[in-house]
Amino acid sequence: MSAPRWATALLRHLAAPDEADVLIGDLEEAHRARVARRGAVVAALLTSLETADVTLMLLRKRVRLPRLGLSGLDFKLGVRMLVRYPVLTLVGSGSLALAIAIGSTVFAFISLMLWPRLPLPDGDQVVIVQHHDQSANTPESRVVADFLRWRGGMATLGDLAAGRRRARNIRMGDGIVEPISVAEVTASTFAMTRVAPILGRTLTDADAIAAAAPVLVIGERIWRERFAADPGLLGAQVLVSDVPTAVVGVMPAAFRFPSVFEAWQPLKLDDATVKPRAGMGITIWARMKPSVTPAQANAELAVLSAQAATDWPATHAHLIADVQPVAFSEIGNPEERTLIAFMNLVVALLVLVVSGNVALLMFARAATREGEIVVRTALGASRSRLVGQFLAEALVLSTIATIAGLALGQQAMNWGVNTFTRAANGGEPMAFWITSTLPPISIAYGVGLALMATAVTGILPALKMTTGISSRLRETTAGAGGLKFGGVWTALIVAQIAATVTFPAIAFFAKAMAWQIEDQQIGVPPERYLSARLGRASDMSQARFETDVRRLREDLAAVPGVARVALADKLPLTWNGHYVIEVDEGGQGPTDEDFVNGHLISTAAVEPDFFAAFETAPIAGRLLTPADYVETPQVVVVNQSFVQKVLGGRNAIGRHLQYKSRSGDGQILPEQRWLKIVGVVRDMGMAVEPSPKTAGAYFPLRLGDLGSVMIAARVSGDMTAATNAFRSIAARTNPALRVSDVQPLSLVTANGLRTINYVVRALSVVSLAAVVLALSGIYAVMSFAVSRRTREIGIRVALGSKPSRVVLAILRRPLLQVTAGIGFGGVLTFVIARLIEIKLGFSPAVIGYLLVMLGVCLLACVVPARRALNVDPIAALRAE
Amino acid sequence: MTKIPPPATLAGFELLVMVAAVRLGADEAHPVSIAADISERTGRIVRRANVYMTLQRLEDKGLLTTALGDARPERGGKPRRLVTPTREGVAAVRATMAAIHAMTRGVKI
Repeated sequence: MSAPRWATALLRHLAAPDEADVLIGDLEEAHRARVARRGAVVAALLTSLETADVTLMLLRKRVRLPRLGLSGLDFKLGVRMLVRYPVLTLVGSGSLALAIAIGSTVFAFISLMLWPRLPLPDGDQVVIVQHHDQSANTPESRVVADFLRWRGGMATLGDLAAGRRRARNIRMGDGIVEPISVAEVTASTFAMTRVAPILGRTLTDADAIAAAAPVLVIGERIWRERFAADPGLLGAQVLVSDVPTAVVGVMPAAFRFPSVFEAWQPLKLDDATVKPRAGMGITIWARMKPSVTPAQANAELAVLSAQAATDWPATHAHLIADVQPVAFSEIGNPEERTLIAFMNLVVALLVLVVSGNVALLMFARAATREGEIVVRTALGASRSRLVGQFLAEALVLSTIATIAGLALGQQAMNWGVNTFTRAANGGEPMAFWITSTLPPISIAYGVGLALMATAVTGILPALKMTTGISSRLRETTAGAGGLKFGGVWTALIVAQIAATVTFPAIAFFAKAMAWQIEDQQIGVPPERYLSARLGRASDMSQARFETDVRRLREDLAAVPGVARVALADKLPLTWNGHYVIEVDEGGQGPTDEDFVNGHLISTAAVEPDFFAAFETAPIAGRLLTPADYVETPQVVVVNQSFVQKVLGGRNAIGRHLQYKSRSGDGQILPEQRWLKIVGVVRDMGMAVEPSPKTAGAYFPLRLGDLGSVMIAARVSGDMTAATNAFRSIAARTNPALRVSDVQPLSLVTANGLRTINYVVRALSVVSLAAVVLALSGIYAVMSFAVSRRTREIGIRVALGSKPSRVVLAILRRPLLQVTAGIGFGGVLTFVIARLIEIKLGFSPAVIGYLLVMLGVCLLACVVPARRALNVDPIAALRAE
Repeated sequence: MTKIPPPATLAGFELLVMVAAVRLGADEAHPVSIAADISERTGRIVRRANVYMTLQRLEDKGLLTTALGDARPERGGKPRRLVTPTREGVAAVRATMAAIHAMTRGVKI
């Protein structure tokens, strides 16, 4: 693995040509040694730091950077200055802390998503052995024969283990049935992972014998939540599907190998009967032996694959195996990966902007000490000494900010992984390598950001303060200040105000989306509907699933208090898939930009009773009838939005539509043929967006095609009683039937709403920080202006100038900056609104918002303006 | 009669760099291996930038010479800058070591 490209490019650019080759060679050699010793991620970090160090050396050679003589006294003075200006300390360190927290957390998330690492002892050594059919270009999982042959001994891989995922129901002692993913694994899996149980034992080879009694190892969460952490649990019987099984061990909560599992059962392999490339599909894992590289393991696997091809030519001629990391990234597309990695740069820029603003505050404060600096220079203090003192102050400030920022970052990680990501993942747990601890590399990144912030907040004001100090020595003693706010500071204030305008607007957009979801009307009260998902278990036949679902449906309809029951692949308020269709004679509404004549609509497959259950009568034509439920559906019913958005209000009955694809978004669509529109119904909550996606079509449900289906029951009586009745009917019908998401229909949108509300809260915090920072910046500039112009104000007032004119003269510059900032912010808000497809015009609300923000920003001018008005001309002139 | 100048003496890190260069030999002494050798033996973190600057200083003093080696694949096809201590350099190492021995002899530290 080569050194980072930016590092070699930087050295090539900075060093002399003959020196560059040697430096880059050294960098490559050192980097490769680090990769072999400490892994790619740590090596990349260390090489980056080293490049920065060598870069500084090269720069020092070129421009002779001044050496800063920092002493303990400088730091003592720094602490004293921070105590003396508590508001600046609070605003400065608070803003930097927030920026560092955001930076380190985003970096941690991106690292977890792009470069995940297995949190097992020496986790980098654990790999998946993946078989691949080269002729068909498909992965092959029927490799039990290979596994049995190889587990006898390999030179590069040890602790070979195998397993597969099974969907099961577990019924605990408390009688509650929980659908769960069970990992059926060989006993060697636990030895390979090197993780010990917290109670009891792991699986053994004896458990995998065909005649052995069924056993189960559970995860710590189940042990705590379902068995109240009972230490005497071992040996207790639970029902796995409908088989009584003994619990023999409990694994720690952090162990969910191979990805999200919390229950493990023995994988029963029959050595005698297994044939090459036949039988069950499995995944093979192994631990690379010490100091073995993936390339060496692949070389041995190539030899073994060739051997297998000779021994089993009929099945293994094109089969080759190699090793892959167990912790894989969900994001495989290189462009997406680059884009996500690029987010780090965006966040670093955010830190830079925040640092610039804090630098502005530091500069404004330093301006009040101009006299002191000039006198120190006159007494012989060198420029580097003065810069050193500013740097020490900045270092103290950013140290406080770093500690607070990393603590905040850790909290954000806890919340992000355990709450936000889980909510965004539909309540499902994440793979166990997505951990909530801020990794060392993120802490290092946070410290790096803090150092960058130190450089900006310390060196920028210091250089500004100490530039042209000799001429200022003359000017200051002559009675006029020489410091001015330049273009950089102005740009910073304008950018900050623009951010102040934009962040609350984005938060509002997100909240508006939540309101839209909350307000979604389906024409019936959703809290009166019990909904659930029914899934087929791994061992269950399709026919059995269909029979069980229908029986459950009949039994539920017979429960007192349950009025109507219906099945559908998607219910109102759930995420309905969006598909491209075309209509005969063309449509009238907007088409999808990727397909000529294609309209993007929502779709659901429903039973005939669906419409009655949701109290829907046809507006035109008819509803679906049992006669429509034939092998290849011929008809559809569309909603009102379809008529409006796709057909432009024209008569729909008798028209035809055709789907452009057969599946997607978890649904299976009718075969590609023209379907006749036989009826129109009211809109029933298929999509939230005010877009063509609210247009929808319902076609006949074919249960035989589906691995899972949703059920809805209109409940006229007690919802809790109906829920309990439903659970017991499901357990009685077939304990192996996977039942999940049992809840009133009104709660279906809860997960999505929770995710959006988290985003709104996070944006609100950032908005508040942006407002505080902007107000502090404006206040600092105004205070600075008043303090610099006290003498001028005194003279103007003494000469009879009106106070309003004086204030206007002082306010002119900040007013311009604020107006420019609001203008930029407004444009930015419009651009973002356009990107997320929100129509935003110059409505009174938008103009009102911008005016309010203008007023808020001008609030910061009030105190300095009053101070300017209170200047006593005699006192001002005497002081000079 | 002209006096022979006394051998130069070396500062702490200069001494470590010179000793590492002598130990590694003319074919193997280069910035990466010198940094690794010092780090391995002393347990301290060695910044390679420091090694570069020290080598430059020692070369300026005439205590060592450097020359480009062959291009190597593990370095992305780039050559090494090989380091050879001069006679004066070796004398400086001896003189510094002797001074350290003389100063530390009999002292319980």
